[in-house]
Amino acid sequence: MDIKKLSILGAAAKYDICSSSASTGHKIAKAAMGNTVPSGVCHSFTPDGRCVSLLKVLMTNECEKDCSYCPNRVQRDVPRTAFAPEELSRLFINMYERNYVEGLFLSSGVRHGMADSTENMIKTIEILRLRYRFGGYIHLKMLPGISEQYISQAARLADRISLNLEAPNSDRLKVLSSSKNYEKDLLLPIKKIAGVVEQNPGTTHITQFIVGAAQETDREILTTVNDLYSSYNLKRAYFSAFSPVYDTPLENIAPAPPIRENRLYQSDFLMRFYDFKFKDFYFDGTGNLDLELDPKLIYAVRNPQLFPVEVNRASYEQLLRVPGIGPKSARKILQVRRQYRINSPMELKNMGISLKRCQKFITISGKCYDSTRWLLAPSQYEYEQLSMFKEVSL
Amino acid sequence: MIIFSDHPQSIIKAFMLSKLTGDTVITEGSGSLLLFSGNAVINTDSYDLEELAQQYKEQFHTNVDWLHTYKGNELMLAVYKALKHCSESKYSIILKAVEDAFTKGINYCLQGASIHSKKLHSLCSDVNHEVYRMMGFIRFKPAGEKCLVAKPLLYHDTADLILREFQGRYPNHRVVIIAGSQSRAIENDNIFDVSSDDYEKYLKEDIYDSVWEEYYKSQYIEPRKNMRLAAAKIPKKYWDWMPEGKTLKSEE
Repeated sequence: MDIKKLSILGAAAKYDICSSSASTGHKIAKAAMGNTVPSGVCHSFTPDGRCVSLLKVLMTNECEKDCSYCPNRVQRDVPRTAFAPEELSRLFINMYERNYVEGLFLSSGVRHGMADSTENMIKTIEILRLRYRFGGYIHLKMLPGISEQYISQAARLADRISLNLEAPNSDRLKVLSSSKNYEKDLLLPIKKIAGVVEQNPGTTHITQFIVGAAQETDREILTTVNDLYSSYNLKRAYFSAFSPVYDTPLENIAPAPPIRENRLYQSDFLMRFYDFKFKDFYFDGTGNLDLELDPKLIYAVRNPQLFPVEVNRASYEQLLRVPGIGPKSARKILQVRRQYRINSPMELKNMGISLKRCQKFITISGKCYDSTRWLLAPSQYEYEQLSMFKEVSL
Repeated sequence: MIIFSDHPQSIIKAFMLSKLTGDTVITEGSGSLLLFSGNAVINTDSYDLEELAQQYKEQFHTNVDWLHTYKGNELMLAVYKALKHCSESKYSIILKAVEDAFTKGINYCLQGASIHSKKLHSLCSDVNHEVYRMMGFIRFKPAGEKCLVAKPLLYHDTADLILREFQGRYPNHRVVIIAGSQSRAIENDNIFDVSSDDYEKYLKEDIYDSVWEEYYKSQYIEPRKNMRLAAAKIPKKYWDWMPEGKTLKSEE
């Protein structure tokens, strides 16, 4: 076995952020090995803290495209190699059997045209599904300009398919690639994917944006994401903070701060699980989200007329707008309220609710447990952004 | 004095009996009291849950119909998982949380609103967490035809729960977990004991150990190094047991 090949093609795929293996689909009946689980499973974490759940590899890192950010762009002088479908499927099934990974994430450089590269990927997952009777998770990445015929084949075999938009609009894409057409190569195929996915229950589709490479703003990104959710049946958008790669046209562009990626994910979650609309986000003069305060806290501060809310009377939707209360906590409050009146902050704390974050925005049985001075002069009030690491003991 | 077995129904019956009779429930550490006590010992296993619930309802005018609903099942499941925890104080925590369910309402207990029910949830969550982690962290070695074996690092009594999770992944395999001298296996949905000696020999290194190591390193994006996050996700107690622990240590 050529371990070096795996190393090259694994490293070439690592910038694809999606590592979810959650699925409820069953692509084959009576699988000999493998299943999908709704929550997904992480098999390891790299020193950068990212989850390793999938065997994430390229079929080949040979590529005809010239994307300015990409380590596999045609002009770069790097070792090139490729898997054969038989070879990759055997490697994967052995790793899956040993429980190293939860599924396969397969992508490819464009070698000898889109059709040839896509056929190799489809051949690989056909071997897995039909010969090995593998019933686990497969994510297949589509190539720009893909035709409906290949999309249909992929959707029958894979649990998730994706095509990376990379940029929020055609002007921004021009900075990243001169050989891709935003409408024809990306948006139109995504529309086709949305149609095909609807015909294939259990298959979902996602996309990914590079953040900070084309001087795009958060407003532009979230506008496009909002459109994709409402009109393209998109399951989820991923954001990858740009890291410059040596020997590419963008090697001198500064890397995007991870906090920017984080703010976009928070906004995305607010849209998907908290019923936030695009109009509920506040951008600064440059069209970007605040890096100091999270979007939900900013929303609360800008809308003091909505607070404080009484936890014993507030609706689910009102509770969801309170910083520190998420869908799970809001449901817990509603459950407890059915038989019992919540009387103290400790009861909320016991339920797992972050008092430090929500106390300024709620009353408990009519009583405030923190200063509400901020309601009178919200802009002058100091807010503390909590860190997700503060309570972690190592 | 009331004694119970390691079963959720038994503990719930113990709580009701203690309220109905005024007797004390024997939990861990108080077992020695039995030796010096002249009182009769009541074993909850000889009582019927339904009958006790009816008596409790009549005596205390409390609605305990939830015992027969999905909420009651949720509480049973929480108690079942808490019983798998290694903590010595688990019995008294469970009993106090059960008391909350009977006195303040099942929802109050299930959502962890009191300190006792919070502790019950914490026990469950530790057990669930170990099962979930092991679903990902365990590495199997093939042990002959259609048989896989692994030696996990377990802190709670979770071997059976973990095996159940793997059954769906390997429907045609026998899956063996070596946990101390007693090992457990699952095959065709049945869990049974096996001898560790028969399977230890398969736990030797193979080519896929190096394949995994190489692949793991290839996924690391160095400019985004965040050891604090990595250590939160894979606690240090696992570093010597997992092959990638070497890489994590070297990056620390």
